[in-house]
Amino acid sequence: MTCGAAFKFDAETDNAIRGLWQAIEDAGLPSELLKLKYPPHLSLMLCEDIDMEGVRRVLPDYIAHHPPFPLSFPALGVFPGEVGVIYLAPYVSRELLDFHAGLWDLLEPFTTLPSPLYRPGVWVPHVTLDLDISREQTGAIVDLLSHLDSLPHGGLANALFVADFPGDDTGVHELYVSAMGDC
Amino acid sequence: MTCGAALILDAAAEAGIRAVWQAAAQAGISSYMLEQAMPPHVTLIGGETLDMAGLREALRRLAAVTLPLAVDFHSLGVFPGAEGVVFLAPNPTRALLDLQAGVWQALSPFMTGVPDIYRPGLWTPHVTLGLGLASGQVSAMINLLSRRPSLSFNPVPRAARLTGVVFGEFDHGALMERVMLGALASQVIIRPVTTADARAYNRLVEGLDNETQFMIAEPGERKLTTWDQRKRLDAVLKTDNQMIFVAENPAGELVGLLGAMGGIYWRNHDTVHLFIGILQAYSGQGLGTRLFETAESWARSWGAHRLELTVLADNLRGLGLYQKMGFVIEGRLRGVMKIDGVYRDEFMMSKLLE
Repeated sequence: MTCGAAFKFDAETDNAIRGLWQAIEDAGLPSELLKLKYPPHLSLMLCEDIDMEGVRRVLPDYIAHHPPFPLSFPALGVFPGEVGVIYLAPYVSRELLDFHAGLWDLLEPFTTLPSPLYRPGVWVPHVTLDLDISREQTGAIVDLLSHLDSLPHGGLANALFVADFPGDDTGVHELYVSAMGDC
Repeated sequence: MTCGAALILDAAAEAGIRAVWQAAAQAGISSYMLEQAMPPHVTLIGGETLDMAGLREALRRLAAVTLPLAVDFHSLGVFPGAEGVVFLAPNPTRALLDLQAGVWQALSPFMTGVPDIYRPGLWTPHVTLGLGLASGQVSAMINLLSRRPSLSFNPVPRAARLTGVVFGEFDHGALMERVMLGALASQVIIRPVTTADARAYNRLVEGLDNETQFMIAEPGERKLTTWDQRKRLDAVLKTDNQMIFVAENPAGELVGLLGAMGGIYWRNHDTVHLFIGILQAYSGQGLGTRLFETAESWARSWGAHRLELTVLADNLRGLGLYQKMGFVIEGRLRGVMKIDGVYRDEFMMSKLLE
């Protein structure tokens, strides 16, 4: 099972991203995130397994000490490969990187096989718009999205959740969720 | 005139990016990048020259940037719009963002018309591959670069190094002046303070008070003469559980400090209160970590039990460093500091040495 920690967004940003997923579907292109039924999210950490008892012990205090992060997207991104990933690239602040690095230090002891792609210094903050897409479809989807006047902006990453990401059509199975702090 | 600063890349990455520019021109997508005066680069700041003398002085002080920086060109990016931009995106590391923030901070006072996209927090590091692209050209560019079933963008190597900072002034696109900045901060040494440092130490503290709100004193508030400071440092050096470590650059200037003040009674003798300050031009380059490691091994050497410090609650960067060094938050000190007329909270943090 894949599980992980990720940000959720304010309702407006959430809707805007679901709108992009729908736009891909409406254009007759495969929109994998709609099929997965995951909520729009920004992953901070992925792993094979996680000890929720430990997470519940350390995470609330850390989250309570950090306010929501502003979230705007200046760019689209493509992780290339045989099957590609298209994503929204947020502005990346030092505060966000520090929060992420702190979260890793905190949670890593409770994880099994944490993905090295999410390690501080390697992590590329991204909100996935589509995945498992062929190269031909990548170009078509990028064309579709780069027509847009603007990407979602002015939003907030205002909650953090830990969940199983089963990869079928049952959505995420939330194990823990908390709003970011109000400090 | 327009001017700007940018990071340039190692030779293999540069050659690869030039090959992409060439291929884009040959495929009829865009030849814009090929016609520019600049080599492949990551722009750190751009705008109009306001005060060239000021810029020159700021550039001289910026010679401290730590290079090379390793980056991973993990993905392609697109700035959407009627005139799209396709770029190569390095992974955004803390060191890279710190470097850009330092350059922005140093140069922007001497420039005008600097777009918000260069403001730290809004800066998106990128190497432009194609610019002014209609949407069909955007996908053509993406296809050109993902022909191979591989993670790497043939011909651009994925692992690259940012090797230098170039500052240029341009007149109608022609490069008028180009200044290369060096890489000195890696040569900064950490050592215990001596009484001979009194004058340099005062200058450092003054610089820190002027640069950041996170120090205890207002700019100009401290009035220790060199002689006073010398006596104070002497007293610290004569106390078994107190020490100040300083970071010194190759020019002999002090650029950072960490003070470790053990309690003056038997009961709190093994409790050490820490304070730290690093000049902005040298921050984000691992000096804080090095200072902490040095101080901790010193504290362990004589059997200290507890290291403690306070940090402004909104100093996320400080918090991040201290948490990385193993400090935990013990509580919130409410309204403990008055800064610009506003009472601000601090966190009390500590680390127990077992």
